[in-house]
Amino acid sequence: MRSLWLERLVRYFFFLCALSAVVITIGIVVSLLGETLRFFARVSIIDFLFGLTWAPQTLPTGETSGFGAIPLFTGTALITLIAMAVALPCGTMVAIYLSEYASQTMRQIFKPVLETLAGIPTLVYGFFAVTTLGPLLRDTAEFFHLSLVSESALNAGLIMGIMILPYMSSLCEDALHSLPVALREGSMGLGATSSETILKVLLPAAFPNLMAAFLLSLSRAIGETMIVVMAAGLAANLTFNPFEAVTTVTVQIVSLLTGDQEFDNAKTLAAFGLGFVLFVLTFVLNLLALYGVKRYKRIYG
Amino acid sequence: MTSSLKTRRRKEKWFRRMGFLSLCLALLFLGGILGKIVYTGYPAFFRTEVAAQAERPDLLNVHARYFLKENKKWITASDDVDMYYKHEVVGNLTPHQIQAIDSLKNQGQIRLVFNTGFFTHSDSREPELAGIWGGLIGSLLTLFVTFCTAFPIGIGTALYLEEFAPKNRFTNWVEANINNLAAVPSILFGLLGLVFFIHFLGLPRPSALVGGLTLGLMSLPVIVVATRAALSSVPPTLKEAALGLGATPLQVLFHHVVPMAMPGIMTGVILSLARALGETAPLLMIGMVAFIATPPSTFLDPTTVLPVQIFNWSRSSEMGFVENTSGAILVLLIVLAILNGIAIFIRKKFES
Repeated sequence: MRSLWLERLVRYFFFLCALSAVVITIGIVVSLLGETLRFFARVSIIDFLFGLTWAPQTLPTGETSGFGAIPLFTGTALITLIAMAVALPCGTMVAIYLSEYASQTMRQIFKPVLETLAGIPTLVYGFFAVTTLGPLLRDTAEFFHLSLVSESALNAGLIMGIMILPYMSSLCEDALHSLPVALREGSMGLGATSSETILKVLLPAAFPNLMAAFLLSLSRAIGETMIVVMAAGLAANLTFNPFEAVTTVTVQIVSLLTGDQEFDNAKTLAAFGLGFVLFVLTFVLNLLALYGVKRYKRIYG
Repeated sequence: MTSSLKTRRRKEKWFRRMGFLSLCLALLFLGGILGKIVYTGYPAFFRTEVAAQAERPDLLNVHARYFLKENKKWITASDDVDMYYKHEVVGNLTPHQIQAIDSLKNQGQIRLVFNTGFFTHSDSREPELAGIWGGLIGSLLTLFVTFCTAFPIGIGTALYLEEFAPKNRFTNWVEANINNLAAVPSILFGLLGLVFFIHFLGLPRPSALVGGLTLGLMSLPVIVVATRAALSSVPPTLKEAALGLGATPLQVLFHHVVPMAMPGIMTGVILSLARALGETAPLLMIGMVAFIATPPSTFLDPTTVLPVQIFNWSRSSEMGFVENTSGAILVLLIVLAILNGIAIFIRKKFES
């Protein structure tokens, strides 16, 4: 029975393939954790997580102070906040319009357009931020006699919001469109207008999925690298003023690792510490998005 | 519903208008970005040449000057001249040189031609000679490695999860891992590549092999998710009919299920490769940022890819490179648009 033997072999091969996903996750955790532990052997974890000054670039080799990551966390939070402030209202409204108001042809045109736009490399957005939006914002601020640096958090945040918009509205549109027609017909049959149906029936019904879309977008904003590498600053300022330059976790990972890459100094190891924090943060957000909200899902149909 | 019908209708109208406005706004933003890139990028496809008989070596590119001895009629101008001729930007030109350019213009001894060098040259320190050939070849080699790793493993994983996996905790765990990996920031795959491929396995650093493997890890979960969706849309009656006629599970799979799911699988694979093509961050992590002036000929040669080259150009303050950056972005976007178009075409064609 040669074919049975072959069947079993192929089945094992598929099983090994499936294991690869687990191996990659373990690989990420082990490689990050290994270097992170070596980092914490030199710099205390308390100083790293709660320290207020971040200045590893100016340190002489061997020095282990100046690894306080709080300014990076606040910088990431500030830029992400601005991005979500753009993407959340605009993205949801676009999704609502495409799913509930737009004609079938309009939806068939704009849905693939949105998906294609969501695939534009973030590098392109970063370049636009540096060459166009940055100077535009600076001129606008000058007009109102405000001081705005060219690497402002506002610049990076706005561009990141625009980048996330198509991704988010595509996910939200899926969530709304998959709701059963009976919900709409029931509500409209009772005399509600379209907007009342959307706000009072459809949005609450799709809430778990919308929440998942929001969390996935948030995770993407936090982990986004190229936009902030190009448009945000390098200096770690502890500020919540969007007109000033802040730096983010991903910017610092890139700047620490694109230089000399000796694995035995605290500077390069710090990048892995930051990477580990980033992994844990996005991991929690992803899990919440993929499984946490499932528990609140109502079954229709 | 205490409010009158009139106010409710008005609210409805405003809500609808807001939705339409948001859509317009979103398209305006994105259209603005694309428009700006096209506007600043297309002059990169043209280059300025000066007639040899003008005998103005100071207006020519340093490396192109030796063509003067070879009886070439038109010679590439320096980037300063190029910028002045295209956009009237003075830059480092002396008033004397500007006068010379203006008089050459009147005599028809300076012209714009299609910049073939932009597509056939590799990177250079001089914007007027720099081209994207090295980056294109590098991207092609890297994507080939990505495809060869992510495609078979991704399909295998999806087939296992969809067709063979028992419903138990281990399977759930594998699924959770894949779904999470699909949303992990790409920069973390770069860190994994740095530790595993470069420091553990000792593979040569800025090579297409390491870059492709790293991007392969990143594309794998995306391919798995797309393939599973395609596989699960194959009607179970088809499988049952084939099994009932005596086909082995493997025959059912490869003769019926996989061919049926192929359009969906191809769409997913093309989209994930398109994503890998535009990815920069993980490649920065594995040291693919070097200036490389020759296209790679093997998978182990020092390689640069198109997005990394764009990133390097974008950090240069020379005006010629700003133009080149937009031009290269334009090429990248066109390639991505074609890939996306193919994916959408396949999906539409086989949707019914």
